[in-house]
Amino acid sequence: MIRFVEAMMVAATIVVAIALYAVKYDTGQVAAGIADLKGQIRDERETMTILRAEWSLLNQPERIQQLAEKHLELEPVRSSQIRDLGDIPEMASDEAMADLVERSLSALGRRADQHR
Amino acid sequence: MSPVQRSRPHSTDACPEAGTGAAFDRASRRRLRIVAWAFVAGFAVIAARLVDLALLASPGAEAKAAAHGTSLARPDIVDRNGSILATDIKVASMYGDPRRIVDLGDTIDQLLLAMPQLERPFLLERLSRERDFVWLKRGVTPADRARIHNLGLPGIGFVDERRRVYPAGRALAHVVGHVNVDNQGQAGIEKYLDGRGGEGGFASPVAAGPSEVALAVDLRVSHAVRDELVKAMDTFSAKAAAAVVLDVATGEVVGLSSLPDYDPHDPRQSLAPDRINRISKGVFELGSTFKAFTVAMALDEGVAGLETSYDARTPIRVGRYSIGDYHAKSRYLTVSEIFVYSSNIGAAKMALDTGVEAHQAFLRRIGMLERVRTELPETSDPLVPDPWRPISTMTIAFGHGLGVTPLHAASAAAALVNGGKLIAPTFLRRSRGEAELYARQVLSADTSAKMRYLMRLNVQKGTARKAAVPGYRVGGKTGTAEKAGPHGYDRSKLLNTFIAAFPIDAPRYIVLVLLDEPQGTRETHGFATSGWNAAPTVADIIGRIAPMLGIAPDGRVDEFDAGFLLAAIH
Repeated sequence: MIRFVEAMMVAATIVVAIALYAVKYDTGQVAAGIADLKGQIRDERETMTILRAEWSLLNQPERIQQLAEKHLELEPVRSSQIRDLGDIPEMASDEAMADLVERSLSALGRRADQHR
Repeated sequence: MSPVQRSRPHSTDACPEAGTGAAFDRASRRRLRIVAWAFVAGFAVIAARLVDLALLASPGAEAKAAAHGTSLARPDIVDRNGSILATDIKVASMYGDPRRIVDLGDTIDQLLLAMPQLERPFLLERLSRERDFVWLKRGVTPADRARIHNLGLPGIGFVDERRRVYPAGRALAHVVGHVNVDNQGQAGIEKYLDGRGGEGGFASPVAAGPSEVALAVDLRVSHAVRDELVKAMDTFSAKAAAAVVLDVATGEVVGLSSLPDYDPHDPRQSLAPDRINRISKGVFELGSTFKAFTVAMALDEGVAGLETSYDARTPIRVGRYSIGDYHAKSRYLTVSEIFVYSSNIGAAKMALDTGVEAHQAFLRRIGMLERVRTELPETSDPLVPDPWRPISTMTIAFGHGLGVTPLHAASAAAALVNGGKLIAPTFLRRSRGEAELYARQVLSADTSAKMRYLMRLNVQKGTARKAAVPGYRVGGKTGTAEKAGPHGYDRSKLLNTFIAAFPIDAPRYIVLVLLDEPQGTRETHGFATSGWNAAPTVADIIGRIAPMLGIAPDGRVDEFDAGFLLAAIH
């Protein structure tokens, strides 16, 4: 009986030892993978920094102004061109439009009569 | 039955060392049990620690692992909207180890083939030194690095360094400053950051400070200001030009430009004395813009009211000096007229009425007698007359005899229009709440209201007419100062300034423009006074930056008439 238990203990020890080394090996692999990924992240971050710097350079107001002056036909905004939303007049109602049209037509007709 | 028991003799007397039967059995079992439990305990501890590490991972361990990574260098500098003004990028720098070089001539030949911009004498000198490390070229392009690396030359290697780049270019060169080749701040905010005891240069350890420093300046506003200054310098053939835009409620410097300026990537240019930051470091006699402070003083001290009259019929004679008016009216002038017609005689008399001591105290109160305290290291002490005689009081009243920086004037002007609070100017973000802590009440709110009226009146009817911008309600004061030469004041060399506040009904910003030795043009009919060059420059600037600063134009004319503002005071 005891021999059986002892044999089992020895077997268990061997199994545990194998498992231990297996875990150690796997951990080593994972750690190497992590280090590799961290290196890649560092490189990507560095690239991002360079790209951000280049983006800022391309967005430099001086450069944009020169490009705008060269390629666009826009002029600086004048203060008279900026208006408040409330400054836009109300849309005319239908009756008001009809009235306006009628008055315009009658004025045209009167002028046409004068030319006869 | 154990083997031990069988071989053991029955009698304990025959072999005493072997021990007795049952007692020996118990003793050895006990020892075995102790050893066994010791092993169990040992493995239990290991198992427990495994569980601890795997499941309840402590952050301390991870932080320690991360700290071994790359060391932080300088923080990014951004403007108030997040635009990058300064940032680090990694560059390779080439070094040589002379002791490891096998064939010096061949090595140099191959290096020159790969990078023709290197020079043979330089390489020869460097690589012949008795050192184990010499810099060959700092800042090598990735292409060059790859090429030389592939040559496989012994004794030649690369180190990654951090190089500072300034995407904004010249636009905010004086504010942001620059660094030296070792990434140490030499001027401007870069130098201020180093002095703050924070992030350092190339070899600094992990930084504990922020990764980004937000400035109060607005890149778009600063560029607009610079662009208009370049045009003005060209139009009026000025030797130099400078401008600053200040938030009157917080003291934040929203825009700053001083020409000529320099490229922060080539900091050797900044050493030329002509390229200083004229706004914070240049000391000038500002001339007539100072009358605004004189008038404010007389009103605040109760010495005069807006309608108080002064005799300006004849120039004041003091010894061999004579104080007269440009375009003299030669009559009695009210305080309002003194401001609007920029009368030297009137200003001098107002200062004398206030008294020498009170005048000095007032100037000290608005910060004119000491250095401006702000983040930029480039500041100057004012030039104060010593000894201070009554003639000094008279001349300082109209801006001669006391030399101050334009930043002094802009900061004090903000106090004139914001209700009387003097706030130290800052280049870092500051909220209105924080500004209250730095604010000092130097004038009454009533005086401030009167100054706003006078500045508006000046733009509607006085010398500042060309500063008007439809819709933006500009108020201001002109200043034309003759520059002092070896033989007295030179009438042909002018230093022109203009201080504007807008929108004058509830001022948000001060704009100060300075032009050094502007000339008359055909459009100005040959006149070179401030109203003809500095004032229209201010108008151009305000027209351009007001939308950026969120100020809507208001086309109503009557509500912003000076008379309306005056009625509001009484």
